[in-house]
Amino acid sequence: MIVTGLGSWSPLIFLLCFATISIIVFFIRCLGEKECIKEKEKTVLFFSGNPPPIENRATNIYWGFFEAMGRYYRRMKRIHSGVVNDYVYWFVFVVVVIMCVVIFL
Amino acid sequence: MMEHAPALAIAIPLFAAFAVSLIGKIGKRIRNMWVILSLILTELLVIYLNYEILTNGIHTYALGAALPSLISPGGFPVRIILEIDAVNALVSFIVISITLAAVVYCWRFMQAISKDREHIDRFYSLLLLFTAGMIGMSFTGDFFTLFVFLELTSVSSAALVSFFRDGESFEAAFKYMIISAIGALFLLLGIGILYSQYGLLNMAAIAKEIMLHMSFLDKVSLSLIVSAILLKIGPVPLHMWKVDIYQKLPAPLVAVCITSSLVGIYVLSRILFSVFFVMGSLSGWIIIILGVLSIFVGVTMSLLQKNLKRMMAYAAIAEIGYVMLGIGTGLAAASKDFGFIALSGGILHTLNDALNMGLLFLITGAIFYATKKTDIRDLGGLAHRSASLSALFIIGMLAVSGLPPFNGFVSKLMIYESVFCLNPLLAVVGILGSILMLAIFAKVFVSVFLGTPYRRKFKKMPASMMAVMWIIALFILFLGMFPEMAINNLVTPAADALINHEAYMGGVI
Amino acid sequence: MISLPFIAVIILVSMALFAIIFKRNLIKIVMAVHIMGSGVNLFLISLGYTEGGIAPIFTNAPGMQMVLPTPQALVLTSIVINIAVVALMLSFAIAIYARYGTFDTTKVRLKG
Repeated sequence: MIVTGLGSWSPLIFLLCFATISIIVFFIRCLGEKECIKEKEKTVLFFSGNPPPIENRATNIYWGFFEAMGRYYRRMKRIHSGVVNDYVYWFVFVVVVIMCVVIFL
Repeated sequence: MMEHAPALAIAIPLFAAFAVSLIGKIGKRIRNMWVILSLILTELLVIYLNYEILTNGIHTYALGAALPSLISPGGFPVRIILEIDAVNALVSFIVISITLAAVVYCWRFMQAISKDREHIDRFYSLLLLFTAGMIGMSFTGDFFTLFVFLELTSVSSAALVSFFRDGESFEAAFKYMIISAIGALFLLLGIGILYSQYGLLNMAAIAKEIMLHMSFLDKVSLSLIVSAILLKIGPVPLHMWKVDIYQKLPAPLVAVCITSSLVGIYVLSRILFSVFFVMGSLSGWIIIILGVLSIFVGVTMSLLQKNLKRMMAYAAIAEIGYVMLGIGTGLAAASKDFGFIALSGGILHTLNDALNMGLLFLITGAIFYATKKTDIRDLGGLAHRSASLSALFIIGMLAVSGLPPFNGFVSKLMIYESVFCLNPLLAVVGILGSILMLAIFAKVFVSVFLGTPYRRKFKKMPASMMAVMWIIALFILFLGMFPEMAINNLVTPAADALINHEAYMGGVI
Repeated sequence: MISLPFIAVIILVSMALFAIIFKRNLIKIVMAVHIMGSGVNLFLISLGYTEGGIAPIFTNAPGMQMVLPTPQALVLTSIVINIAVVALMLSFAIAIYARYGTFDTTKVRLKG
């Protein structure tokens, strides 16, 4: 049992609660329908009839996230240019910032 | 002989590194056994040192004196002094354990990658030099020895980056060497400024002088030294070299390079806590801000990548951000209760991070061994060919994102709860980072392991590689179920040793 | 007034940093790292100077003042380390030229 300042944590109690709740959930699941009809149309993504904007595969799961944060990602890709001179520029920038903070504050 | 244990722990890998090339000419098997034997010997010495520190207290060793305990014959320290207390012992234990696991993994992994025996001889030689450099950097009590071991570590790991001799490896190695050389030269500038003020190079002796009065030149020197060490750790504005080299190193070596970042974090906390006494001031906030930036940028950039190792490299940068968040809070709130818990959480997270990311990178090595591909768009459905690999990946994924009952949860809980007392926004960013990290690894799991079965060539993985990965997974489970053993025996003495700077100075003077 | 070696150190280090940040040829960057190493070595040596001191060889100086010997030991170590580092960087530069065909740093392939 670990007691941090604001709470406590014990892995054994967690596992007991997890097991109990899993048993209850499994019991509720067993009360459901016995058959499940496999239809071809169930696994197709829905785009309101428009053509899909990107290929339907697992590596493109977070496509919506990238579109929503598009400006941030375009700027980050431009910063990570891979050129050695930029790496040293960022280092000198950090040296100057730390020096100003330590000396003047 | 046991009183020479600190010096032997550095000297044995160093001697073994130079002997490997000769022994490699005799045979392959003898060379492998020589490497593993020297690492086991070093591990036994480090475990003995750990036991002695936890029972007896701080341990100092003067290199080259008539008796090893003859530290200050004239009232001030002469010679190179190795000073070991609870933090050093923990960090060196993590380093040597992970290196031993990686070398046992390399036994069969390297044979599949390169058929040239001399190439693998040079690989083992550089790996042993790297180990000697890291252990030296964690034992040293002297600034100039720190510089020498830092350069040794940089040069040997830069030569290791160019193992696969294609253009991209050499490009990554060149960038890494330029950045390391500039960082080490700035460190030497800082050391020179300190020497000109006090005429001393020993960390504890300088600590005693600075405790009285900290002048303007001391602050300049502090900023130069801290920036140089930050370059070795790799938080966010200074992280781009790290991503490139983790992409091109062979997989078991990435686990060893992660521990070198953790040694860098130890050196940073030693300099800030014990030598310069910046506890309770604004400098702690610099570390906190760098840590928060690392978490956010590391996790968001990782979602973009298509190369498996590059994606995990960004996740490793985010994990380093958590450690810096914990240590920075311990610095900024050192007198309060939650500062101590944050510091303990940060130190425990170094152990957990080395284990978790080490396991994940070893899994990528196993995937490369089996399929010779690293792009996640080419892989798919590996769970049908190797079920234990997917079980290991699930354990690693849940441990890294900090879900109970694995070990990542304990250290992250300590960090979240104490950082919340300092400023709630930081805890919010931390929890967000954990959620996005689970998202990254869930995407990797679904793309690489699930789906239609993999039809192309899949080499069967040897038992030694799987055994090493399962041992690390068992450690993760054990640390998650019984965290009190690690916290009470290893982490709390370490955090005590960092905060209590009188004990550090008292070991030498 | 700051004495002449320290002004030389400031000029050398800032020239080297300017060259590393703004020049795009790999060989020029390696030369700039070497120049910066020389600047830091000059800084360390000039720290040990005392007025009217002679070379720190103990048998030569009965009663006279010597310059400090510790920075000289540090500089010897630093010169050797810098040679190894520059040799390694030059061999990487040659290998990059053999595989990419160019010395330009903007034509990189590991980015993003």
